[in-house]
Amino acid sequence: MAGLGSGSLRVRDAAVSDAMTPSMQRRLFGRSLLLQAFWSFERMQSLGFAFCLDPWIARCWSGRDEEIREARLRHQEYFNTQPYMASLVVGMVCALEEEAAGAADADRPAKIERLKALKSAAAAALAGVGDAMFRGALRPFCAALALTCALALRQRPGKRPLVPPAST
Amino acid sequence: MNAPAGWLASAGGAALAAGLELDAVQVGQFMVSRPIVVGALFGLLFSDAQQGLILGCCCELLSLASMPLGASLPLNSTIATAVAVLMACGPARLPPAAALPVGFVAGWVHQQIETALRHGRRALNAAVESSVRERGVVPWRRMTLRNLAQQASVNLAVMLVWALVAGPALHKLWPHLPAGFVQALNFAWAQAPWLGLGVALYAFGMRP
Repeated sequence: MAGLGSGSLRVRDAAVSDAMTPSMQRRLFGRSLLLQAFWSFERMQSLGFAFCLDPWIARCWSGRDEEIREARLRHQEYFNTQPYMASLVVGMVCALEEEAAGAADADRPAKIERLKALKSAAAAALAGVGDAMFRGALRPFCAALALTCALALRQRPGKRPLVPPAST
Repeated sequence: MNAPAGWLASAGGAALAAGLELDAVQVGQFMVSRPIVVGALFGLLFSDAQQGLILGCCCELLSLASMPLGASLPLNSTIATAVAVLMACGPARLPPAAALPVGFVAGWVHQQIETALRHGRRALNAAVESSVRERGVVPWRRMTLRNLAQQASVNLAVMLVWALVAGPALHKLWPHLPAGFVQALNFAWAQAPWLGLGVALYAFGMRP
């Protein structure tokens, strides 16, 4: 059982593995900011996702070179979601990778298939939710708010009007 | 602002835009690349925060409904705003009525280059796969730095061309443009905030 945070705000969760230390969380978070650094039309965010997950794969499958290679290859597949929602998929895949790594040899292929299916399903669903929430609602709302503030500031005497007059 | 300082600010602005543009897609998406922020920052850089904010607001509103969903790639509003403010407030000034459409043309040019870059990144997938198969590891640090440096250099090149070549050329061309064309630009500029408001209303009702 590992904790997140420190002191009185320490959160404990039986589902969080010992391997998911705060430093690993910081690494994954830092890398998740570069999710779209390798964006391509062919596989979209797949390389960014593989880059994000790489330290966790190395830890989960530590000492098993062939499995690490397979894990790295399976995350090269097409992946696309809303960037702000991607961390949820990363967290889910981390848990499923760890589960697959800890499974018996006979169960492992099924766990890996489940991981792949859940990853693509979650990515698609969260993309829909994230785009509607962040780009469809929050961004226009914030822009409208910012514009209202700008208009309010321009009401002060002696300031140039925001709606520009025609000039030559 | 005197001429050498103005050109220095233009080059600095180009570098600033090259860095800020990375936030739009590749690094973080902290929203510092949004036109309203870029417009205000560039306005401050050229000592005309009001004009920068006005152009930033117009670009923000006009680009509010364009979403980079899936493989769609809208014109680059960060570069569009940076170029528009640079044209309106930089050393080779254009009226804002001309600066705004010039900015959108720059954003469209960057969109075409970005499309080519994204097609080019297809090779990275094959390179990573072969690296994993042959050596079991991927040189992520080198690849990331090279990729970000490539994007930033393209941004910088586009901005420098607009700041140092296209800007002065348009500044010289502006007095020779037909009066009807200038009038049309002025009319469009006067309507831009209202058109932007229409786009904002459309964006509120849109379901991605």
